[in-house]
Amino acid sequence: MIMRYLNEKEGGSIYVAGDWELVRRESQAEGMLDAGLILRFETFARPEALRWDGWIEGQSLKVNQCLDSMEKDADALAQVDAASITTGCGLGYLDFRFPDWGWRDGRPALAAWYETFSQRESMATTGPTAPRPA
Amino acid sequence: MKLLGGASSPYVRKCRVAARELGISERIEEMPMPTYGADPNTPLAGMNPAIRVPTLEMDNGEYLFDSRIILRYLNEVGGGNLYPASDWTMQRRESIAEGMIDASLLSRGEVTRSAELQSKAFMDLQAVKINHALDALEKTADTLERLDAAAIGTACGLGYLDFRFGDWGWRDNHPALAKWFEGFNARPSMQATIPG
Repeated sequence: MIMRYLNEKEGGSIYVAGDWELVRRESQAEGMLDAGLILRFETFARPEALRWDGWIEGQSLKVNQCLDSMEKDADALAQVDAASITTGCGLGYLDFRFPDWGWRDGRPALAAWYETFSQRESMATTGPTAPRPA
Repeated sequence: MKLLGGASSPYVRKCRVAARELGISERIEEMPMPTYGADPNTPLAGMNPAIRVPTLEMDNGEYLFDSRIILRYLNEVGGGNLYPASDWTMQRRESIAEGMIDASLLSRGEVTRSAELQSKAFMDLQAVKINHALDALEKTADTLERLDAAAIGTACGLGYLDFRFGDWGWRDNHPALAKWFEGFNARPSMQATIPG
């Protein structure tokens, strides 16, 4: 919602009227982030005794399925829009909180795209920096 | 078009209510689709990688997901006015309702865990969010009179509270919201989509 507001206020084009394919790509990145955040809560904030392996497996499956779909869409991510921004921030979050995920393995196009996109000034100056838990 | 998702989901209900209010429900085939547990073998996995409902199959065979996105699409298809241009106040209210639904679903997920894996702290946290959202919606109850995405989201969120958390008592401290819901809930679009 905030991205839509900023886009309108500044007359940008990160959303294109009638471009539902862009919105689909944005939604799958958002879906990955939702599952990633749920996983983060489950595997960090929740007391260990209350964690549920089946839940963790289900959310992990969602993250991996979204990554597979992004790999197929890697060409379309070349343009800077709401989909590529959300995808870039989603992958950055995985690197931040789940550095051992290995999402680049088997997804060469997505990894190559992120390598470039993450060097944009907007990405390089906003990398997550919260202190890691001891 | 095909709308995938079961009758108990408040996100799915938003789409079903919107389709009826926009007068395009006869163009949409509603297909129940359970998702709980993220089954990799569900056909939904091939349509929406996040394995969630609602998922909409458009006439061109492509898929859209996230109820707010589907509502925008249906609004465009139906030539409706659920999202008046630049009405960010309405979208703020839609987001408050969405936050309430998100927290309600997380609460529901928590109580469906085996008892020994449930966290009271997590339930308490979600309850705070739900009650905060209710308070915010109460303050804006007079603006819900217009039929838009915020009104539909709010109504489906309140309907879900009644469905899954019948003893929440949200009406006790939110009289304006309760009064508004009583009227809105009588609409044919709401009565045709009662969760079950």
